[in-house]
Amino acid sequence: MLSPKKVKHRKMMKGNLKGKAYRGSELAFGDFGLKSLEPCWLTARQIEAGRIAITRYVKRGGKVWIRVFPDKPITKKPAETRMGSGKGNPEYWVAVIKPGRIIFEMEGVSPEIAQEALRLAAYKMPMATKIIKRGEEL
Amino acid sequence: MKNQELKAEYRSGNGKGVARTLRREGHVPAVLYGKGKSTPITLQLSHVQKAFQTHAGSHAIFQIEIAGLKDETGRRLALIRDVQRDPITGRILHLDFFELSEKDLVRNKVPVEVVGNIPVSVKQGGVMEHNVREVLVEALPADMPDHIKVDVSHLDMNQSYHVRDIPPVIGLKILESPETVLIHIMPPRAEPEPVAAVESAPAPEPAESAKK
Repeated sequence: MLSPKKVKHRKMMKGNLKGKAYRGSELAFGDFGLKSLEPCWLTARQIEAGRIAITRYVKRGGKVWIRVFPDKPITKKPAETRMGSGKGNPEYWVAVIKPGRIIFEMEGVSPEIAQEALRLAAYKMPMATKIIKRGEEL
Repeated sequence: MKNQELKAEYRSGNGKGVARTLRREGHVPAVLYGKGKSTPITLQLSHVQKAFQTHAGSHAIFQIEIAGLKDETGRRLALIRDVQRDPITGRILHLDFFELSEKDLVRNKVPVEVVGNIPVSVKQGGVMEHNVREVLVEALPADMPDHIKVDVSHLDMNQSYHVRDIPPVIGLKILESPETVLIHIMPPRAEPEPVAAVESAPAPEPAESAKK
């Protein structure tokens, strides 16, 4: 799973998910992509599940890009613990996703295979997505 | 390249309120600049979309006829410098046009088009990777091509098509480094193991602090 090698601060504040993704919202590498339509925290496990769904369907050939990186640590307090005594321990990593952000890109496969692979990956995502194709941005 | 015709109107208002009203009415606010001056204009969204669906697309050179200008002739030659789109819907929000002169050299990004037969290496499972999709060129507006055509039918596995391999065209100067790779044929990656190995998830380890 994706995670940072080292971080400056172990714990992070929640932040917010307002606005649209003005960066990372256009296809940069491939011909097909999966675009987020809702804001969310996308966990490293969900990214990995999507990646595996794509590579399993494509089997061989093709190239996949992951356009997001889970660099935000999420903490959690242990079960049955009283409130207080400071912030919990880092449990997992998420990528902050805003609407419009491209999650995956693909190239080197037929349009039918790319569409089906991205459809399967979309099932692993916690938010609404759409499949986009280069040259059809209108 | 044949110039694309576009009709525009002079835009007197500016700011987000005016821009939003125009967008609601099916227009696109735009600006035409160059030669030391700037002209706010507005275009029909449907006309812009139609122009973008041509072979040259947004890289074409446009002949813009501006209605509503008081003391100047309304026909201008321009190319698109920037397109602002809505990140979710992809709708065009704003256009930047750069005014050209027919006599001056102009720099433009021209898309790379793959022509010819599919390489044998791709039929054998190789993946054609487009490293660079647009090439910066310099030419007179009349000599500006729609596309840079590259024939990659001879490429084998792990071979590349560089900028230096583009056949020279009279009146066209390519401003990219000759060593820049346009197309690369990658060998196919190995098939993933068929059994879904469920990763035994260890307790998520927080990354080490760099301070320590």
